[in-house]
Amino acid sequence: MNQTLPLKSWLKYQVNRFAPALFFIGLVILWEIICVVGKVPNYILPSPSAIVTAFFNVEFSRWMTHLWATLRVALMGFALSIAIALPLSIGMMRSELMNRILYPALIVIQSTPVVAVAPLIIVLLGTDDPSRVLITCLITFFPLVVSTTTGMLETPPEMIELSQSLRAPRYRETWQIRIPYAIPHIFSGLRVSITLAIIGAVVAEFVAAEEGLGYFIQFSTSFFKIPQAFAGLIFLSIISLLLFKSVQWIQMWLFPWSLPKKK
Amino acid sequence: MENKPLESESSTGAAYVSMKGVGHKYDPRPDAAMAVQDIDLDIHRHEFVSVVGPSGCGKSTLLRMVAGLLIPSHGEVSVFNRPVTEPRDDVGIVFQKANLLPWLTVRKNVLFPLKHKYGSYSASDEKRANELLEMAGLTQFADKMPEELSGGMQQRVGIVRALLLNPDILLMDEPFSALDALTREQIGFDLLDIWKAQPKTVLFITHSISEAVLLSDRILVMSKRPGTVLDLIEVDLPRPRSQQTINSARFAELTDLIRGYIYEPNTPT
Repeated sequence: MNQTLPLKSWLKYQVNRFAPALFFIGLVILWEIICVVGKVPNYILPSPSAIVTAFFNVEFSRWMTHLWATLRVALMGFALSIAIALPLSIGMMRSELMNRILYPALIVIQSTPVVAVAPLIIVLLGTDDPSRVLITCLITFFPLVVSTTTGMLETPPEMIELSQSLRAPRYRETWQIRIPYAIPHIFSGLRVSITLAIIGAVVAEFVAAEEGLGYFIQFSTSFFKIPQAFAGLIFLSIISLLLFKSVQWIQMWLFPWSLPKKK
Repeated sequence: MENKPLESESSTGAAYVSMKGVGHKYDPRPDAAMAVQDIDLDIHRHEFVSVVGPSGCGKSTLLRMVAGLLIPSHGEVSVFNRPVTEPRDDVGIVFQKANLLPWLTVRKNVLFPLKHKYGSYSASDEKRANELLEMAGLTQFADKMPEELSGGMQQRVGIVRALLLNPDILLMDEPFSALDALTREQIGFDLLDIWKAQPKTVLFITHSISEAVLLSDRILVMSKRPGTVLDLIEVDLPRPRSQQTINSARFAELTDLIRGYIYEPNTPT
């Protein structure tokens, strides 16, 4: 008698825990049923089983080559973004003039469709990594600048007064107070940016590339290998998800205090 | 009366912190309203002076002027006969919220002023931090993160942090207003203990009348905006003060006197 209740709550807990996975599995099963029962042709909507088959029909080493090409561009673009966004945000936070000059420029860059500019960049910088990295950087750096600047400006004004009353040098105000206070904001910017980095790399590959997952998807589609294109797409999504999670793990590992408090 | 730690009043004689005709407007336009006006106040060394007044009467403005974080547009603030013209580092400030850095332990938060001012601190500084923490009864929490402490304990850490550089002046801006009533009374007595062990010139901003009477030597009562001086009240209650002080007839008289100023729009005296 005593054991039924814990068992019940245990079950409830497990269902709760695996709810997202169960939902996802249910969706895949439904997809498979629709494809099989409705006799949907593969070139319109391939069934999950066809996609899995297509995935394993491509050699592992080929997958790795494409993955590395995309990941390399995405991570380099992301790193370049961080390297530009941090100093830029500090500058905009410290100087009202710089803020007034740069903010409109940043909004113009952000609202320009990068897909439209990408071919121009390729013409300018060539068809190698640099142009792809720049395209990725253009897509990823805006959320980083906005979140970092916002975070640094949201430092409690009392802490700034404390710093002033200690007559501490301004760089220490930035490094010891403002940047740490901005960490939660910076990481929400990083989470947005890392997924955009993959999108940026794929956009660049669509314009000019001989390898990479974006190139692979485009190439498969143009040869009507639709299940293979889907396999590439899903592989890409999984990589994106893993990168997103990695940013969260890094935050948990390096800055556990910056995470929202659990209730 | 023999416990009053205020012999300095007679020994130094002169004012330690002095405000002469101090007024301020945040907006420089000539027709703009004054935030505070015509404030004259002399605080003696190691005296505990509170400022009470309605919200927005410029109490915090006064505190920032003494800290040099704000230079008044009218009149002059001076400390030890020298006018305050820039932020001064010989004051300790305690804010309404403890404002501890969430990424540092309690001990490192206490040491933060040194780390921030000079970039590092020595083993003897650490020893001093430990002593201060012990005085505030926080030794066992020294290696905890601020979020693990209650609000009252966090504020005590805030006070200890303000004492680290051994300032002569302690500026407290409604330091207990975020705490619940019970904690608030206790931390008031704790503050008196700390003040007795480490005498400081205290400027204490509060909107709690009973808190001001319980803690202070003198109380500056301010009017509504633009804040002017309504009265400067000598609190002639014996020290050390305790729960019995609160129950005394004189305590009630003094709080009533101040309450009268706050709730009836009096003309300045």
